[in-house]
Amino acid sequence: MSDPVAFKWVEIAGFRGFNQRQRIVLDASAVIVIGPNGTGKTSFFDALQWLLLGTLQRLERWRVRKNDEHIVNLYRSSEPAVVEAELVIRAHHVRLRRQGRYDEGILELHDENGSLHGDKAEERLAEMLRSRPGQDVRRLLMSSALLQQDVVREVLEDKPSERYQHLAGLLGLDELGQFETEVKKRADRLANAGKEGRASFEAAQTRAEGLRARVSALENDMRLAADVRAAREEIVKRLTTVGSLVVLDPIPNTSAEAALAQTATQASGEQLAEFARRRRELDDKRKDNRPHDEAALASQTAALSIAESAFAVAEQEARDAERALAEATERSSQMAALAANAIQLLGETCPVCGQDIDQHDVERHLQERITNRGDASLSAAMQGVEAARSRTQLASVEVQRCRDALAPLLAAKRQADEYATAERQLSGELETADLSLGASLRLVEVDAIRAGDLQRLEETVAALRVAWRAAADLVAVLRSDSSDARLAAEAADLRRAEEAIISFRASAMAVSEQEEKAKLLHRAATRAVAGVTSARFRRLLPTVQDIYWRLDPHPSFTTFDFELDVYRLRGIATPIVRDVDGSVAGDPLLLFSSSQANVVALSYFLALGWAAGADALPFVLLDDPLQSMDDVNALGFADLCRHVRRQRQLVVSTHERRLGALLQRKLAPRLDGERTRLIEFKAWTRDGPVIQQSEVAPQVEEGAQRSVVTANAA
Amino acid sequence: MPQLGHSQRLLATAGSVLRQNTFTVQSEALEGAEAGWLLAESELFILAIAAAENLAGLREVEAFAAPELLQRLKSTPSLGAKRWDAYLVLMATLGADEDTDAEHLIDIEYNTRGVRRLVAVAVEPTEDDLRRVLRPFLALPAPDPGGLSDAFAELREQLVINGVDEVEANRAVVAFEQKGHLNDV
Repeated sequence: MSDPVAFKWVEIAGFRGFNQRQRIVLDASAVIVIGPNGTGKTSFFDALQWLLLGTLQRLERWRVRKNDEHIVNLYRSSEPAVVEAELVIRAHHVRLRRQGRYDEGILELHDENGSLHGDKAEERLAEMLRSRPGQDVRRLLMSSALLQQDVVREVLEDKPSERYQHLAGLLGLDELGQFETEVKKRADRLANAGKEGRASFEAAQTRAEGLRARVSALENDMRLAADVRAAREEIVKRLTTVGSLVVLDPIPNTSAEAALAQTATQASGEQLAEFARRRRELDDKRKDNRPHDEAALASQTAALSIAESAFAVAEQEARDAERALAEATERSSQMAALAANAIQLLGETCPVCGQDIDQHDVERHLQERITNRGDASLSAAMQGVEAARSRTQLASVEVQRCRDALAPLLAAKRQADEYATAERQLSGELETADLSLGASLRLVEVDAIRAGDLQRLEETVAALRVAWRAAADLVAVLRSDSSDARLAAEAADLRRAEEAIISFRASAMAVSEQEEKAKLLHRAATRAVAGVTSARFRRLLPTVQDIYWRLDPHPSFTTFDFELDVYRLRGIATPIVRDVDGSVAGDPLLLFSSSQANVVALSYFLALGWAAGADALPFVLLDDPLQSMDDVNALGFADLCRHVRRQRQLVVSTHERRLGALLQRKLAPRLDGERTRLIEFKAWTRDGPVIQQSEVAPQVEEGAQRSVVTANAA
Repeated sequence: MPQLGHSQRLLATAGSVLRQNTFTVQSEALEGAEAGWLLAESELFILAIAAAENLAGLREVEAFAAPELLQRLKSTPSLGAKRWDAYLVLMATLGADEDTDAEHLIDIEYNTRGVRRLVAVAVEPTEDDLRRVLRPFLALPAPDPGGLSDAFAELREQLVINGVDEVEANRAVVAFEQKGHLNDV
């Protein structure tokens, strides 16, 4: 059996912890990497990963900025990092060289077929690493060939759905996950198509219902307008009868044109009817109007003026007489008052001259004075007033008489003036009236109408009424005529809509059927993928269990598993460990110590690599897998490594000297051709790791001989 | 042929399993062990296997077997580094009592002085059970020749089991395998 070797050597320069170029010879089926923490062991494993994948996914999450450098050695930042190696992958001898920085690492590949560069080299390398088309190389490497510290434990610490995805990926079932995603996309797509199909079907139904109603209404209209052509001819005939006054040319062919003509004839008819009414009124007024007499009017006006002057004089005289009477009355009153006072003083002699007086006679005179019977001026004034009043009344009568005579003369003049004004206004309006009636309608007697010819006006109004009625009838006829065309169009639409309904119904049913099938496929795919994944786990479990028991021979929880289930159409995975005897089960993360959890994780990783068989990569890289494990675990692990290295190249590191020594003893060659390399990371300087390399001395003879058991016992 | 005791049957079956896995095996008498012990050797391991009825019996056997094995290893200088690959495997037919035996079991298992001890309790004298006990010294079981490939064949079966028509299942899987999507299915 030939010693399985994948990596022959690797050269690292300017990469992470490596500064100066160093060649590490790996040409052995077991490579033990020993060294204290911080001496560059993980940089060595990172170099192998970067060489193969061009990325260090583990470090991506720690990079804050895009240009954070995590590839190039900080003491050699002016030059790019370079990792080179010679490998044997699936019987292909290949030499790889990757050079670059944080943002890019260009790969060169040289093999028996020649040299490739960049993307072509990446594709060729991926082809070599894959055991079947479409495999995710990164997943393949990370799930079963390169165990980084704590990476597998992350599987245990994932959320249930992410853990499910992660485990499926570890089992090489990414493609099933992609299938499930595609099935879901298809189901969503068909669900949308189904929704749209149903909406189209419903819209077609609604449209058809509308069309059916319209067709029904139009059919009804059509029954009412049975003989459209005859009706139209009759109307056209009616229109020709008024052709001497109103011309409708061309005869409307559409209901819209007819409606315009109807509106125009109505408006024009109303306008001209109003003109005719006013013309008629003016003519009537002219008949009743008597011609007024200007001379008589002037004479009567002059007579009135004289009479009014005489009346004014008489009124003045009356006012003067009234004033004189008022003065006489005042004087008489004063005399009466004096007389009344004198009577009281009356004696037999005059108090002034002392002569004897006739007291009785004086008293009588005084009494007359008191009663004004003796005042002649007062009487004269009163007579004057009466005479003035009489003259005023006579003058007033004369004024009224003159006015009465003048009134009819003035009324006749006013009427004549009003008529003349109305006549002028009507003539002006007729002159300026807009008598154009649109493109197809024309008045014949426009001049006569503008001249105010009442007969022509009334005839034209009558003709317009005839034309209006005809236009209205034409509208109805043409409408019923266009209903016929519309009915044909709507019926055709309805037929198309009915056909569309049939088509939409058929396609909606077909899509619904597909949708149901797609839903079923989606549900089934989710369960099927979980079923396949679960079956894979079941198949993998004996190997996991086998490896687990080798690492931990007497665990309390004797079996462990992932319970796979489907919840809300998503696969979920729950890690579980069982104590079969005690019938107890639980989550290992809650029950196990860190060391125990590491053993579980390591068991899964090794089992995955092992179960992959011929599909697995030809090497297993284990970066310090023994952290926090006890002696028994370590001894079990060392014995396990002996089996693993016989199938594929094993590169294992540890920071513990004792474990390193154990691995050296356990992995020392025991078969012819078997080789073991020891890579000791002694220290780290700014030039890079200080590495001592050697070959572990073979113990083939010790292995071959049966020293304790006698040879003949076999 | 005389009826073999339970411990003897365990040793006989263990010998059979080891021979099938390239071990050279011989049985010898051992003081303190009624059924004797089994010595087995491959290019990787030297095994001394003893059996008893229960854990208490194993403790007694271990007291004789461990020094005897160490003595043999010491007296064979040609062993070289192989002497670090020696194991004393102690098997009991009865199970361990959790309350009283757990501590003793740990004491034996974690006593790695001179030689590593492996204890197995409740062992049935069948090859399967003995393969389980002797697992650390046997090669890992050969992986399934199909590895983890051809998941799509299983997927097709599972789709049908979950109610999808066989033709439909096949059409979807084939389309996906060929194109990587189901856009035109």
